[in-house]
Amino acid sequence: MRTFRLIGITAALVLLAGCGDRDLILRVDIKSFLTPAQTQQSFGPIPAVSGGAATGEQTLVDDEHVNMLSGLGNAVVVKHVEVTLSTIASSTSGTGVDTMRVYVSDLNTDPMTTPPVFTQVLNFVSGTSDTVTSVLTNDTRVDSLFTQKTMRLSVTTSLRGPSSGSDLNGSVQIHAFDAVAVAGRKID
Amino acid sequence: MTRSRLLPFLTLVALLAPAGTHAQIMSARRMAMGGVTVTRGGSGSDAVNVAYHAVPAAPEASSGLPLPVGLIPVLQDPPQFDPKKPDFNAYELANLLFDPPWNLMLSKPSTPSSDVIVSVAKNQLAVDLGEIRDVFPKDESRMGVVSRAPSFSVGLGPGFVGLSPLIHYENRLRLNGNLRGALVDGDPFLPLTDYAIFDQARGQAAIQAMAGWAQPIWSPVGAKPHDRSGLYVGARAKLLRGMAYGDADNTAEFTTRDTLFASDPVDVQYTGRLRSAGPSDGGFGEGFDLGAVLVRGPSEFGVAVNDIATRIHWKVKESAVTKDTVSGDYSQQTLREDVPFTSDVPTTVMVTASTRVAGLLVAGDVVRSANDITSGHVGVEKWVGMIAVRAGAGVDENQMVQGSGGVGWRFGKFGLDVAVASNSRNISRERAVELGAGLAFYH
Repeated sequence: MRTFRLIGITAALVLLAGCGDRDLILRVDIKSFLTPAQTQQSFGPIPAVSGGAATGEQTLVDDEHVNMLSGLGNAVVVKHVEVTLSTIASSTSGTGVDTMRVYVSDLNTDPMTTPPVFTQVLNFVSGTSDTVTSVLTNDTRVDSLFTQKTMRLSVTTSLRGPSSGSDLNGSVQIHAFDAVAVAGRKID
Repeated sequence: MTRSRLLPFLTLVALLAPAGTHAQIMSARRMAMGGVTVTRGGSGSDAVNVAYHAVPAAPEASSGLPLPVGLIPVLQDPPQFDPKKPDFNAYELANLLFDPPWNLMLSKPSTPSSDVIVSVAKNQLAVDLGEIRDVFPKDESRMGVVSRAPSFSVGLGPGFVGLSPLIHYENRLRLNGNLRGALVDGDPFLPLTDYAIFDQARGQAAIQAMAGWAQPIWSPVGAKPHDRSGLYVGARAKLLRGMAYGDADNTAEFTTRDTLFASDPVDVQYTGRLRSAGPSDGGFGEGFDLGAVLVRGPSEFGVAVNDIATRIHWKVKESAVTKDTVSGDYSQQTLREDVPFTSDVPTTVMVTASTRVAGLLVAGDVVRSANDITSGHVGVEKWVGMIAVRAGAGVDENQMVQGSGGVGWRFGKFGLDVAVASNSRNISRERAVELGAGLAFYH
């Protein structure tokens, strides 16, 4: 379990930004906080078997602790959060399907025990790359996590190999993983 | 105060403190004339130049009673102090501190209307403060005032004794180049770089008992009885009794690591050294004022050097704000009590000049005050019957030219003065316009 801090923004900044209808807009490149091993995975050869060989859920990002907006305390309300995940599935040979899941939770909850906030299905087609982009908005559970001091994050992949034809050789890569949070002054 | 509370508080103070202040002018006549110090022997002239104690008042000299026309709207619609209320506005509160609402604000400085955008990656941090960046000074921010109220004095011949309050406060705030670049210029924060903010504040109040002497040392040959022409000089010795003192030397700094957002958080180091003393801790002090005024027909030229070698002795409490290495909380610790300490009051130099040309009074001044702040003003006044028309301009501490105008009505020994003037006494140093009014009493 590794901890990284996104940013410590003082409440004063929000207090000043939040006068009237102005907001603090926080843009976070989540991918930059992950190691290369956490953002890409190569595999193969996976031989063709009837129904396709399944790997089950394999952890790509294992329960990272993300400290959010520390110092904001009770003075801030997160009005809107938008998270974008863009993933590339590449196959040099063979076909298959990968399912990438992203889990987030509060400090006291194992993220893997919560429903995934992203479930991306990536198709492997020999000699091509498949890019899938998903955008999450208006998720009250995720919004509420951004008001807390710490968030936990896990990412998994589930690969299913070819049921016929060539062995599958390929990779999955997180191309972009960004979050935009709009925070304002909490008003009674 | 815990670290999580202290840092936002310090940041808020830092954000709100930088703008330079230009002392508010209460006199509507002086305000209409660009803030120029119109001495000419009128009320309060001897407070700024001791030699004026011996100069007969000019015919147009008056004393005034400023009217708090700006308090009415503030009392009708008090500011919101609760940050959780929708009408809370930190800028308006800060501007009330910078510019107490004695005069009526005709145009308020605009509240920054842009969002603050913070972009974060593991090794990148950029802060776009939008219009809030105007709050931060381009260089260092300095403010300083030595306030001398007119004294209650009695005289016998060229000698006099008197009593008056003295208030001195000053503040100097500076961001280092790296932090200024990040906050003001929008530069990205860089790895392995020091970011720091420094603030030095000092304030003191005293009662001063004064004994002085002022008289003409030269008069033109054949001067008529009512001719004010002459060279006047004066000196004033002051015995001060300290009533309150406080100073603070604050530094907040952090050094980014080789990766901006590594596993270990950036540790902001705050250090604060404070000295304080109350009325029972105040001792005595001494100081001197010198002044000279040359009156030649309708023209006057004055030089005053006030608070020469002025010092006050105290027994201060020294304390420091330190960080608990275990809890991470900051707390103020008393280091020593009853420590002998001598404060000084900065010497102020004021040059004034005025003349009357074809019924037009023209006056100007240059003042070098606390914190080495220099300001200058010019103003004119023209009486047409019982109505005076006034205008003026000045350069304030923000190096902005401010303009003003106004009128005065005289009814026998009483009068009413109204003035409109611009200023930059707000945290974003924008030009604002205010209206002042006051009663005048002619001698």
